[in-house]
Amino acid sequence: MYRVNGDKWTEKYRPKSLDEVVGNEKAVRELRSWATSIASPTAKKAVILHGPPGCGKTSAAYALASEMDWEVIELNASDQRNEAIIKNIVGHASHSSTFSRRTRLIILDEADNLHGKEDRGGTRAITEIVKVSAQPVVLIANDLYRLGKALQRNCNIIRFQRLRPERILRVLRRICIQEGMEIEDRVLRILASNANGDLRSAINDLQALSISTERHIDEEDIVTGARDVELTIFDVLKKIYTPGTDLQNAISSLHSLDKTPEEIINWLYENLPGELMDPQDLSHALHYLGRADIFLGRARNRENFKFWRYASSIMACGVSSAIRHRYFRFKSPWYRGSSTEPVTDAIARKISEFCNVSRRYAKYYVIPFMQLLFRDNGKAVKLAGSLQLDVPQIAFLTGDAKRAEEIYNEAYKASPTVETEKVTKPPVAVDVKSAEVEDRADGGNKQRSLADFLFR
Amino acid sequence: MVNNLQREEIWTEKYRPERLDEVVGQPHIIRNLKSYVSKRNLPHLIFSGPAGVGKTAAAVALAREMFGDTWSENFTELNASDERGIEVVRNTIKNFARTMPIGNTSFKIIFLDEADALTDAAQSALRRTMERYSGTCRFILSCNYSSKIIEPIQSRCSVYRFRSLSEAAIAARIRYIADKEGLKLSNDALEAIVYVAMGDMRRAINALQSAAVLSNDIKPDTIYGLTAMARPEEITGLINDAMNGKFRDSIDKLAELLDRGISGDEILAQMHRLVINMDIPARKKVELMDRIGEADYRITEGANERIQLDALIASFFLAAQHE
Repeated sequence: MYRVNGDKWTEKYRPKSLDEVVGNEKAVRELRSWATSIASPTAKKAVILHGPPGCGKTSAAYALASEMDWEVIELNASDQRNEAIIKNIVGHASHSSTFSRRTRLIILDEADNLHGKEDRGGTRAITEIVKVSAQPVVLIANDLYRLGKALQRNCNIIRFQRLRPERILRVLRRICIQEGMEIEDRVLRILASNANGDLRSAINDLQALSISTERHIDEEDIVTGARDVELTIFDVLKKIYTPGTDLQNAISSLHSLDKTPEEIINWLYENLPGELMDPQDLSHALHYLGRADIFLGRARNRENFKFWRYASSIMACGVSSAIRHRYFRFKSPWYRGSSTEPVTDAIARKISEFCNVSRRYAKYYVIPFMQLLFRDNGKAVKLAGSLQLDVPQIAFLTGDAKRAEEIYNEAYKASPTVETEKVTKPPVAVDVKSAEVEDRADGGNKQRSLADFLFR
Repeated sequence: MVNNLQREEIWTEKYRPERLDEVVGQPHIIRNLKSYVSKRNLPHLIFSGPAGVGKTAAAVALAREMFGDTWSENFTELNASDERGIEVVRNTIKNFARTMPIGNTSFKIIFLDEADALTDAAQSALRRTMERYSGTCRFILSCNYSSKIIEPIQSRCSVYRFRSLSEAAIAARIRYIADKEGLKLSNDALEAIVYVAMGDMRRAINALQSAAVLSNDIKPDTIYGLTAMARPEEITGLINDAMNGKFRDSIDKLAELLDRGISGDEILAQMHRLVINMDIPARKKVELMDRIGEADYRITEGANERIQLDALIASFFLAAQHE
């Protein structure tokens, strides 16, 4: 008998130092500068690392500890984490100084994933410990917004992003060499682009390949699906966008994709070569995309998924029968921003959380207004900081990628110490945020408008 | 638990593959699963794909080969969508995971069926449960679409997409079972079974067993009758008549099908399925599919089935007139 976990490549190849952490250079820099600043009495003792799965948050936390020669106390999801337990373990560690006088780093993995009864009071306990801790604390979460405003206010916040395929590819190549795996580079490229920015899943897929095939590995061996959506959806699109295609065949390959019709309709819509089409043909295609969308709505509203089959075949045949010329250049409907959410929806979500308005209102009434405001660099910096927008989102509002980069850097350059100073100066975003939370603490759940924090 | 006697009597259980090699239609996936067995190592897995394509069969066969005689002690199957909810799932997992695996193995396997039926919140809880017991347990989650599984879980699993079974794969298995059971199965009858199965092996085997109860000589009409489906040529005939101006004939054929006890819902489903292969222009096909879907929606919303079906035929008739 042996421990299977010991063989996991995701563990075996975890970075030993911060320099080995792949990608997210800016986040790593921020993390390091936080670690060196905590000696100062005014510095925040806790930091939140947030971002999608598999982009290096946990690895960075451990690498930091080994680089700083800190002891680690970890509380992860496999432990129960209710109020008493957290106070007991972490609370103790966080203020008693150790005999060795070695700093102890408290790592709370999956901090956004405290659940129900078992973890009751967990969030509150964490917040309290973060406030009083003499020891550094790292909280790790996928979803920053589930951590609560009070907790966020008491922590530095560092955001990790999905990794680019080239970064993942390099890691995969290195592992292959170390493991003595014979594998074609083309296969690694597919794995890297399938991973959707998630290094852990790419390494898992690579290990699955190595376990499952003794001999030379080629493209055929990649059956671990789902993350290969980007690859195969293009094949299906190619079938649909070929005039006179075998419709039956196109529809069954559509069904064998690991994508719901809700996702597929966006791909079809986004890839309509409108400018190349005759208006008659284009309106035919759009008419049936519209009809297919109605069936999607019916499936959703009635939770009756038999309507999906009408939606699928109407969208595929509707587009295909409108196409008169072979068409090949396809793009993903989410070619900017995160993988699953269109950029306007992401911005709308942030606005709606910040201002307590509906997402719909944010999308249709606030965003157009924001686009005007973003013409002014000063306002853009404040807004971007308050709403925690990322570069693609800022770029959407400014319509200018280069300026977006500058605004982003300006909005987030605040180091921990600078940030605390800022609180005393009136018109800065950070100030408004804490003021907002205080308002709520007074019991008032009053609706705020963008004007409130921009012009006061 | 179904005891052995009952198992024998339900053919989907009796002919459930015991070895990975017997799982049909997914050669690449099976090859990988066999290597897990030979290396005696297993990551967490997600099996995604439509119903009846071998997800459960593959999981059970994997457990049998991995654990041998002790497979039933080291393997458990839970259905996530049972309304008993995530708490029960968690308790069952806890109880199962608490005891050491039996025999020459370091882990047990938990198969969680219909994991995509869980809400996001429940999946987050499941994720924690998975992490907590990952020392002694491997999880296999089955779902229709892996995108319905939250990303943090996906990131920790290897995802396998099961494809719809080909008609040939289903036909071969049905032929095999029919021979084992000493049934007389003509090619026409086999074709009927494959047609009614719609890529779902479970449905195919059930159709065969129901027909075998009536007679050892399996006839196509028995299959269509038992599954309350029309023959494909009856449906296409009805549509063709309407589009060729023979409105009366078409309505009569429809009435005959309804009188035979075939539901309007089923007629619409079959129409939708067959239109795609009819010999009409592609744009006409979309138009018909849209009308069929519309009728289906209206009937689901409570409209009168008979009136809507007649109106549908009428709209086929009119659509052809406008050519």
